[in-house]
Amino acid sequence: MRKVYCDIRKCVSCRTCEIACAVRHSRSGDLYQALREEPRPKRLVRVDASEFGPFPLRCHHCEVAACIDACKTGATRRDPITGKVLIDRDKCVGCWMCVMVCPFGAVFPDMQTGKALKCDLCESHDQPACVASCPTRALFFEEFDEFEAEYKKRRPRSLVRR
Amino acid sequence: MRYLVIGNSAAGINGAEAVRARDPDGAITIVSSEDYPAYSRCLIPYFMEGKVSEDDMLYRPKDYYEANRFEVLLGRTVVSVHPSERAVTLDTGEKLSYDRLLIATGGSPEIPDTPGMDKDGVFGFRTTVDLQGILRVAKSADGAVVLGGGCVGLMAACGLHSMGLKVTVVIRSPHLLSQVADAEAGEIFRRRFEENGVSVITQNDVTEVLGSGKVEAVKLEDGREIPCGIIVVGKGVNPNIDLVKGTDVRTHWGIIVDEELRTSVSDIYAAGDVAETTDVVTGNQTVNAIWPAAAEQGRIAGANMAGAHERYSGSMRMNSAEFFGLPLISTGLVKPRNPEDYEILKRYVAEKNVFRKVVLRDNVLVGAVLVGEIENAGVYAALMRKKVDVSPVKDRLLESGFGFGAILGLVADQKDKFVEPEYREAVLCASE
Repeated sequence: MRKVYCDIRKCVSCRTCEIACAVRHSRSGDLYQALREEPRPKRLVRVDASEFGPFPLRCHHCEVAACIDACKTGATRRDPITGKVLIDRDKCVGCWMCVMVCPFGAVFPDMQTGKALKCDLCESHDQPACVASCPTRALFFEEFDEFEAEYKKRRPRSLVRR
Repeated sequence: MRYLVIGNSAAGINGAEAVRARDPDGAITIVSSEDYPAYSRCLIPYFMEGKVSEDDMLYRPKDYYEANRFEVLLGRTVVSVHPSERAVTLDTGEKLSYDRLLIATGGSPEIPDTPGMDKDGVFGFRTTVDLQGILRVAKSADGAVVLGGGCVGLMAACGLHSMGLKVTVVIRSPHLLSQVADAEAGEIFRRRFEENGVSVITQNDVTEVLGSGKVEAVKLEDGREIPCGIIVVGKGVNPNIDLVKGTDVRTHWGIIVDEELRTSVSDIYAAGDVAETTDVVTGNQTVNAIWPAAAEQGRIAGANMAGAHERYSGSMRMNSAEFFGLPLISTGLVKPRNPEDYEILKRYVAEKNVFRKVVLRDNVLVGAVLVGEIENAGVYAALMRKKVDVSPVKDRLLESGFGFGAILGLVADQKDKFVEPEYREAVLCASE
């Protein structure tokens, strides 16, 4: 399945992906209106610092997804057709079981709305907003094999531990 | 192939689904002593608070059994299992036969044998029957007493409080949440409850339930009497293992299962709150009666019943709850019996109600308590499950922002432990 992958050698931690994600998941879909929305639109990707440089953390839509097992309402399910792991907002009660078990910490508890939030790969769009907006083209939306092959061809800068 | 599943909750449902995924033609029957379609018992307090409707409590859609071609017998209890005949007997006397059996009978609340506990108005906090009873009695009651200060008891307290009852929590231990947190965290929550009008009485117990037929008050050890029309007991659950008594299905606390969740009888499997598994953190055999473990065990047992050989890596004690807007996640061993053998790190920011504690043994994380800030909780759990030496990040474990980014180096260095494909996807860059 196509997922979001990152060539972290190209990520400069500008956090454009975070903003694009929050806007895409806002009610208005517009940056300037989104700024004034209540509850505030939330990002579903988070740029972490790592010893290899910035790392955009997002849901991996795991093959065996602990969040699905843990979800006591049945809100978190795998889409049988696309394979995406999705949370039904209406069913989620904010029990945070998914937050407790996600090994990536990629399910974000929204304390303001009491809903668990995670990357939905921008369900109804061709490309996830993070990928489309990345100014350094560090993010890719493709099959892993495809990403890996291209990744090995690219040599933007060597990766050094800090 | 005829599959029989006893139990209609997390383990049973996920078990039946896993069977169906591998055996489209097998006959699958689900029997449940509860006369209610599959629902999430954890949502009972949310229902009391008016946050979810009765329909929202359903764990699966209404056409679920039909759509999956599950035959379902609700309101029927399996009283005994006959492994040599490959059959079970129902409370009606009827017998059902099977080729593969999944025992997912769950547990029953432990009700103390205190005098008067049999009066009308005493409830567990587990089933829709408990809920209906609570709703019936709550109408005419103005006070409620909750026994037990663990997650279940306190969720019950919140639910009863939201229904307008004057709630008193009575606990044996000196602190709330004594099994899942420590004194500091317990005190944070005690204040939270008291500020919201729930009374907490510690180091005490009910010695007698007073009333003629109906609950009217409880008498405490110190002689105090608390008027109440309702008592909810949240003192843990006992696995429902009676149905295999006297058979070759081995039991201890719960039903003993192997790595494939098979019992000591080869065509019988067990999963969920009735199954005794290995705790990955302590190494002890135990029943970790929690929803996530039940669902996972059900899924693996079901797959194996249909011919797979999936391995269950073990359970882990974990809890997530939120009381009056303050969240708590507790994982692993948080209160070791010999603290001198462990390293305990804590951070408490009183003005923000933020508390974080980690427990390590030989630089391996074995427990974590997060109060207030719970983001990234699963990262701690993964480090525990995989028994990773966390020395390189030890000084960062208590930071608010401690998360996957902080452990990316560990993941890259210890590929033998982080074997799931998603880790490879995440650290591809780092692996070059």
